[in-house]
Amino acid sequence: MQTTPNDYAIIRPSDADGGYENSRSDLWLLSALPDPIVAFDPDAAMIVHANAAACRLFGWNDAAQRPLADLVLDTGADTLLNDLRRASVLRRETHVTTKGQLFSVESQRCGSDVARSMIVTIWRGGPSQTTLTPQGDDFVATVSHELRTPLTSVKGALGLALSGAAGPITDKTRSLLDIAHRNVGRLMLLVNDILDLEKMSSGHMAFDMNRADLRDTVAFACEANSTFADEFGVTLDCQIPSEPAMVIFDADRMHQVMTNLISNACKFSHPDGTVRVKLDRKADGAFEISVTDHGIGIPSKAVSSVFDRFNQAGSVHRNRSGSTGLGLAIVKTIIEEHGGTIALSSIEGVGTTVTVAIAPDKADCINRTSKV
Amino acid sequence: MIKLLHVEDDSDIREIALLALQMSDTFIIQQCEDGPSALKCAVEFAPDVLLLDVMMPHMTGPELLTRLRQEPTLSHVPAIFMTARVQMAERRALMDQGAVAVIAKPFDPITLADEIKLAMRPATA
Repeated sequence: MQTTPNDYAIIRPSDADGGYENSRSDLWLLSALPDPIVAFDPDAAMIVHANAAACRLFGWNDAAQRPLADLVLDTGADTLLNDLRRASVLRRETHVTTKGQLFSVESQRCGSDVARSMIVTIWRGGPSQTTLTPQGDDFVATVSHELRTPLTSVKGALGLALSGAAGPITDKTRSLLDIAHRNVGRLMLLVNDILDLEKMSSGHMAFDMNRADLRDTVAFACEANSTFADEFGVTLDCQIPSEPAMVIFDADRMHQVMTNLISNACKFSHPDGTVRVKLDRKADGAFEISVTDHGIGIPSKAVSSVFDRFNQAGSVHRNRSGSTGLGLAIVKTIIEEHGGTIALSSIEGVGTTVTVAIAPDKADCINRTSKV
Repeated sequence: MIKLLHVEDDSDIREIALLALQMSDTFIIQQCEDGPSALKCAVEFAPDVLLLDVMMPHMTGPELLTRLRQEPTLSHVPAIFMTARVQMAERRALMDQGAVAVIAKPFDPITLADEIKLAMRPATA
């Protein structure tokens, strides 16, 4: 449930005496919420209420009438109060507790009468969602290393055996080694995709956003995937406009998106087919990249779930294509991190088009880490 | 023949790399299991190229390269990192350390020798 402090009109200034009276039912509701919530009187600089989650977080038995200083934020109380002089301001900050728990803290003045209003802070994140421990950022790297090291040995050993480096092999043995080699490659892709998703969901995937020409990325992706297309007997038709397409984006991640979309289109095309990759500018100014194949298409009932992890539409073809079932979920996340949109249309037996739209020059998304 | 110093903590990967490089008949190979042992043998071996794993106990590949660079005879030997962390930012960071190439794991044993020779070309040209 997404909420803002204004959703909690829980503790109100009393019309009668200017103090605060609490509704029992509202307090019960507050206590049931999993996010820590703390309300304080800005004039008296005193905490007037904290729900059960907040008491657990701060180790308080009773929050009432504690000084505001007990609510330890990275910014001091004076800064907080100064920022929230006006009721319309919603203040967001990131706070790391002494235990290394990462919280996103939202604070807002509640109440129409500023003289008798209070400030409510909501703490999101914490141990159940994101923990910024000293090891946190290393987790993905460690798992990545621990999983990939044995896979490197297995893949390398199978590759050497298949090459005949260890002596001649029979056709039957080769056939079995081929299966093992192919599937260890598939396992490797799966590990990579899972690690990407883990990085994204834990907020550890960095996006290196820079203003650049999207035409270069699209053209490079077509060039880089031409050999892959050849393996499927597919021709890539890359249509790039003559006008620059300047956008703020992470070129590596966008290349990953393009590679995924183009490789999917190739895998599900018929031999001798054509995959069209087109970059265009829409009437609203956004840039649109479409990847169209004329292959097997997707059943209409499965189209809505294609961006889900391990979606059922993909599972039918996963063995044949070597797909992990995670690629489109990753692509969607990357595009959304760029403030863009992605859509897929498909007709079974006719083909599929995936369309990505990115607005030009979104200056508010430069160099940040993902948070999904 | 090209003298190659390979530093890798995983014994299986060392064996596969050794087999792969021996197939090409162009390398004299010295293998070490970690940074400290590589520091001991590097000067005497006088390699033409360094092939270094990145994540190793005791001393990482980049740390090892920094130490090796302090030896006057090794200060300009081309270095190639092998790593499972293949994001572009990490690749760039390794190249900034002075590597001539970064080979992703799992590597292809059939093309490993060619990749190394190709990477050495700018440095030897």
